This record gives sequence, C-alpha cells and structure tokens, in this order.
Amino acid sequence: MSTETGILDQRQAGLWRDSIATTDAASQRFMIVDQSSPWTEVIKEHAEMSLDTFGIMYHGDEVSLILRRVPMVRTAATPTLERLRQWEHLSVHSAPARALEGLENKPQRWLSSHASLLWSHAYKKLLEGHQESAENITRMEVRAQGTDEKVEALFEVAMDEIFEDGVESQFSRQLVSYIRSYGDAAMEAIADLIVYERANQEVISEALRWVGVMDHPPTHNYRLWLLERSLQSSSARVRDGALLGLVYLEDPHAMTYLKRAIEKEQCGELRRDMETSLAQLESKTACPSS
Amino acid sequence: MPLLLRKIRKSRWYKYPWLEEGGSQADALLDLKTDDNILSVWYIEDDKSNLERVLAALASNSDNISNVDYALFEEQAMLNMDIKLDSTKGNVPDDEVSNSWHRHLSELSAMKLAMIAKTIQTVGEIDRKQPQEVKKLLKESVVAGKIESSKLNPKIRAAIDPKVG
Repeated sequence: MSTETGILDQRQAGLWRDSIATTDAASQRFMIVDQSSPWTEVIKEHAEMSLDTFGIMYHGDEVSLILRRVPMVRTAATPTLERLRQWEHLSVHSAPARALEGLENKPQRWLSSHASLLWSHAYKKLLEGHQESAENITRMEVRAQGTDEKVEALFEVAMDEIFEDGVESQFSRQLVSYIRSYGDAAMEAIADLIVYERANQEVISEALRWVGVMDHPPTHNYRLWLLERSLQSSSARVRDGALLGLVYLEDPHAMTYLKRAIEKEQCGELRRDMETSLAQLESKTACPSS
Repeated sequence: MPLLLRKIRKSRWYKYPWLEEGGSQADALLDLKTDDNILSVWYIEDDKSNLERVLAALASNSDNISNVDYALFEEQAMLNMDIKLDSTKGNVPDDEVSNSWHRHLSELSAMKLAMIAKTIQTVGEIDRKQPQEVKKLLKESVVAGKIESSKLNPKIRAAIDPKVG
C-alpha cells in the first residue's frame, strides 16, 4: 500500500518545517522526517506549533485529515503518540487516531505543491462522514484567506511610510487591529510574509516591534514564536525589530532564543543590543515586580 | 567639545560588509530628513550632563514607551563644514529643553547632508536607550516637574504611573 502525506499548503508546510527547526535548532531533523521518520517524531517536534491543520494523509484510497485547533501550547508536555490519540478535543474529528494507525516507521512524502488538490480531495472525503466539522473547517479557511490578502496589501502600502520608534503609524494601527480582529489567522498571514521575507525589511522590522508592543493574550504565544523565529532572519534590520519586539513582550521564554541569537550574530552593534536586552530580561525574571 | 544629537533608527546605521570604508547605508538618510533644507538637532553639553533630559523630552513626544536610538556628533564638525547652526525653539513637552537646546542645521545641500551622514558614521556615537531605561527617564522628568504629565500620551502616562493612567 502506498502512503503519501501532504501539508495543506506551501505556507503552512513551510511554517511547520521552520517550527521544527526553531524548536530543536536542528533543521536536519526535517530532512529525516521528509524521507522516513516515524510519526511519533513528527508529533513530538510539532508540540510547539499552532497550526490548525497538521496534515493530510493518503494511504491507499483512504484519506485522512489531521487537525489541531489549539494555539501553540509551549508549556504543554511533549505529547506522545499515545497521548495524542487521547486528545480528541485537539482534532475536529477522530482522524488523528485513524490516520496514525499502522503508519509508524513508514516512509512519508510531503506534497505541498499539490496542496489545493489534496485539500479538496480530503475535504470531500471528510464531508461525507463529518458534515458539521467540515463546515467549520471551511469557514476557518475562508476567513484566513481574506486575512492573507488584507495583510499583504497592508505590508505593501506601508513601504511608502517612514517609521519612527515609539510613534504609531497607519501601518502599525492597522496591523494591531488585524491581529485583534483575526487572531491566529492574522498571525499566520503575517508570519508567512515575515518568515519567508516576502515583504520590505523596514516594514517587517516595524511590524515585529508592534507585534511585541501590543497586548493581546490570545495571540501571545504565536507572537512570541514569530519574534523568536525572526531572530534567525537573514536581515540584521529584521533581527533588530524582532529583538525590540521581544524586549516589549518581556517573556522569559525568549531568553534561550536570545542566547542562541547572540552566539550567531555577526553584526557587532546588534549583538551588543541583544546582550543588553538579554541582561534586562534576566533581571526582570529575577525581580518580576520591578 | 559640545555635541549635537539626532534621533535615529540604529539599524539604518549598521555597518554592512558591502559598504565602502566609512560609508553609510542609503537608508540612513531617512534619519536625516530635512524640512526646507533644515535638519533639527539637539545641543548636548560636552560632559553630556543634559543628555538624559533631552532623551526623556524626545521620548515624551511618542505614542508609547519605546527605545530611543540616537546619534551624537561634534558641533565643531558641522562648523568645519560651514554648516549654518541656529538656536531655535523646539517642540517637546519639556520647556527648558525646547527653549535652550534645540538647534537647526540650515541651508543644507545634498552634499552637506551626505557629509553629516559620513561624520555620524565615522566619528559619531550611535547608541540606544532601552524601553525600560526610557520609562525610568520619563518618570524622573515627570516627578521632577520637568515634563507635565498631562502633556504625555495617555499610554505613556499609564505606563509610568498606572494609577494616573
């Protein structure tokens, strides 16, 4: 029986892959997964992700869709395969257990380029037995697509603005407003532009500052992840924006990522700012009331 | 030797490997935006005794507590380049800062502006006050009566004194 696995679309596949690299600082891990990793490993590495859709699996004529509907749970213990099977509330339906059965240690192949085809096929199959859940999925997708377009337009228009630290701009106001309105869906669209450096560096840097400044607990973990991830950007200007965002966010979780970033940082001025920020974060952790 | 201060965004002044010796990123000129060929700067005593007060005043014009990146460069370097330097009233909530320490570098040509950028990049001092430090400076200025709390953005007011916000 041939087995193929696909991620919903290129963006999510990429984010998923990046998350693994970020989580474990071992991008090679994905290459192993890509070829023949046990599913248990995939799930372990996926523990910090916040994607709604985990993947679509084909085994023979049968298709299964694995969904997680929870935001990133960075404090959760790493889930084992057995534990995931019990987490019915993390999925729209019982697909995870079904999809995982008998697939451990079998080769997987990621088909992100066929995303839409996979999605329609999987959706059709799911619709037959899971009407209500599938409708929920559709609504979620439509909302996310609209958000993508808005966010892309926002980043494009912002190229004409000149930003100043501490001063709100039309861009920052709209960015914060989108995140408040669309939550993780907006964050996914923003992360797509930022992680793949598909927008102007100055705009990205500005966005990261405000991602850190804004107070919005429902997206806190996603924003934290994006800022930590952006410390690895190829652009020093973007890394500086991420650093400032993390300074505003004041989450001690970032300390590990900052330490790693300091080790790798080639730009002397930026490295010194990272060290200062890390020291402040450490002192804040030591004296949380200050 | 007295200094001049210009608020900048530090990352626009990073020395990238592809820059020529002593060169600046072209984007650094975004921090030297002129109006009627005038560049607004702030006078800093040679012992930097008024530096923190000026930084607090600049931060008090913001919408929220933020880092303040700035460049310091010698006033004499401007005079050596025949750049006209005028004392004018500034626009910050701290009256003494506005009245005493605001300067205009005027009648600037594009060439002179590029020379200012080069001066900042090669012999200037570029630094950052972290948001936490800025918050402390703002609080001190308000407590000392140098900045009226009512002139601050409500978000800043709330951040430096949650009871007032």
